Amino acid sequence: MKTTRREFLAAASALGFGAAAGPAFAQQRTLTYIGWSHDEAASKPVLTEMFNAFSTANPSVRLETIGFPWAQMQQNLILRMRAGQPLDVAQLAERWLPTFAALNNLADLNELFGRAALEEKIDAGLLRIGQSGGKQLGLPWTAASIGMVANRKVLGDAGVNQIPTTVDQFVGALRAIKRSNPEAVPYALATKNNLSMSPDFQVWLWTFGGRLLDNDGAVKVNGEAGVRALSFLVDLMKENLAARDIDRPDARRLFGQHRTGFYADAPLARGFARDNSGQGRAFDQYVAAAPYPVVAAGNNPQSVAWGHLLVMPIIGGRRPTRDGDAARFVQHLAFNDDMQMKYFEAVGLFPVTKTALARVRDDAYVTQWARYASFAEADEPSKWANAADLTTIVGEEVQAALLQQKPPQQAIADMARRLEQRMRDVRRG
Amino acid sequence: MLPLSARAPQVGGLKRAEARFGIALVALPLAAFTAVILYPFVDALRLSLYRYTLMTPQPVFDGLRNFERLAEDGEIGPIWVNTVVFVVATTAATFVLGLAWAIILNQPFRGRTIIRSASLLPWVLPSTVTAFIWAWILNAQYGVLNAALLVAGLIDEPIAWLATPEGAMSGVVLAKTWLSVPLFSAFFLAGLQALPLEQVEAARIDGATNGQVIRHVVLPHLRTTMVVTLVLGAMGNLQQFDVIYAMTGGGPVRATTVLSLEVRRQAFENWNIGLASAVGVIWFLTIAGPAYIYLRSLFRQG
Repeated sequence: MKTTRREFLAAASALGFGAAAGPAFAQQRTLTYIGWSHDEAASKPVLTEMFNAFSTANPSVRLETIGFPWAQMQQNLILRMRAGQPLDVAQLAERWLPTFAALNNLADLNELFGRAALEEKIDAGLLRIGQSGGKQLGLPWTAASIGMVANRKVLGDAGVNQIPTTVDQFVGALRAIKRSNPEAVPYALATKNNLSMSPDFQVWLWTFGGRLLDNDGAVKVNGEAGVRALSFLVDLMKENLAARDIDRPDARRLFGQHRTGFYADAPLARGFARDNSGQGRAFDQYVAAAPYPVVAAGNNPQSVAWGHLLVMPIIGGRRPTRDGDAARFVQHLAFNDDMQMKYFEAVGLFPVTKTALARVRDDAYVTQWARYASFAEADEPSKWANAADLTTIVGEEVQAALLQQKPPQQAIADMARRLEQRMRDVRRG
Repeated sequence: MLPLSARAPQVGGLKRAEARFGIALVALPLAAFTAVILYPFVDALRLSLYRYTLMTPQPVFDGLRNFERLAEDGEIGPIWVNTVVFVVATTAATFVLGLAWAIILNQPFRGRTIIRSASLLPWVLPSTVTAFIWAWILNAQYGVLNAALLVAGLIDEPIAWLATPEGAMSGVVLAKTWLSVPLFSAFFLAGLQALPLEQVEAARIDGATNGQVIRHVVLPHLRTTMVVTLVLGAMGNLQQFDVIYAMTGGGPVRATTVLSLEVRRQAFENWNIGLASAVGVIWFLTIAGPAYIYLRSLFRQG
């Protein structure tokens, strides 16, 4: 059929009018969310379902979700916030909070929801991971710790029938594993990546009674505890109880293949073991939440606090309101027990609400992990705006000692000197 | 007196028209160059003199403080040395292997076309894929290399190739060389195909051996290609980022941290744009040498 010029113009006008009028009729408000989990294969289906549930319940809101890989998330988010691009809710790793707090444009959730209302829903201890400078800048979406995971089969094959709780028992168990399987890496300590080596070292440092920094930023690592902690790890390397060139993904694969007895990870460890073993939930029987060993019986097991937060940035002066779309979306993800349980069942991330946590009380893995996580401390460098620099220094000096490029005493002294230089920069502003 | 319209064309009028046309042609690329390259470059030079971090929303002029801090930290020296080691080793290895491979591919043999096509595979693959493949080959726990050596009885336990400074640097040099040999070979092969066979035959008649033919006929013929390839290769390796970042992340203990990785670390991990710009200036000064040689050879040819 031949279209005349008049017909074509009329059709184009109609289309243009329709396009212009469409949004006016729909009157949808856009809510922009940025995160990384909904872009990851394991959590994508369940998060898509959770987002769709929000859209169904809020037809007047057009939910725009933007995903970045975890490694590029921080950089893209900062650039986006600095450029003033639309953003209502963002997912953060708990250790990034001080960096984003320094931008000074995150809404204080205490003002938005009320302190009492938050504590009624979520335990005060868990809320701590979202606090910075006395404000509740992030709402925990999932929270736990980076703790120790033990492989029951590897331990059983080595004749270790109880999960070790003291450092001496731990070393004994590692030696037993090495004897029973010389090709195994008894303890898959992180030895490759600064981002993993820094927290792994800190836990041992705290275990031996040391700290990297005090609350005012004074460097404290150069002491007996620091040297003892690092010497302990170096000795494990020398005895082949830990190995070079290990990062978290390597450790997870070794664990799923029954080639390591222990490694440190977030609670997602069980999910990774299911995937890497190829056995799915049948592998759960081998995965145990273990306490980090302590120097003396009766001490509290150490671990690093870990979690995902939801934050509400204030972009272009647009301050979120209590009954606004962003607040409703955050509550849908973090306060709604059904959503929390759905997320837990799909990928194993622990819920945060008191009521949802009560529903997983029968899962020994969760309850044990939660018990050990109650002593978790915040990653020390994360408190400071130059956290990445501090993490790099800690990781590099630990690695230099583990690879026996320098003795532990010198590595600790160099770490202290370099940390002091960087903390001077912080004070300088 | 002639009427105005019949006045003779002014001397140089045609040239001016040509010049205007020429300016019109280059205006758009020049504008794009200014916006995409020149302005960011000049701005980076400026920012190297400023304190500009996440904590300073507005840059604060700080003189040469960023350069002083780099000198005080003592980290930039080893990073510069790493860069030079990587560039020299990779360029030399790629050059030698690329030339040797081109000479082989220039010989008539059965299946030459297939081999020539297959040779391009490393170049066609995305460089990050290549980096991950090599990282897996050299992996301490799962690596193919360790498995082969263990099976052959050449080692008793797996070796963590990428866990020592020397091993990690060798690993990234190896991966980048593997990636670049096809490109160098293609350049050399094009040069070899332009070599008049009469010259080779004349040398043979004079009793020249294979080595003498290569030394006295082939290499002199390829001299221009070799200079251009060497300089371009060195510049490309000076800008190398992805292979090293994906394989070692600059470790262990910064043993493979080159200037490009340090710029990224300062800019996107430490959020210190001023310091990243200062490293960038050092990087630019390092790359300016080979770039000058290359441009001079181009202009001379012109």
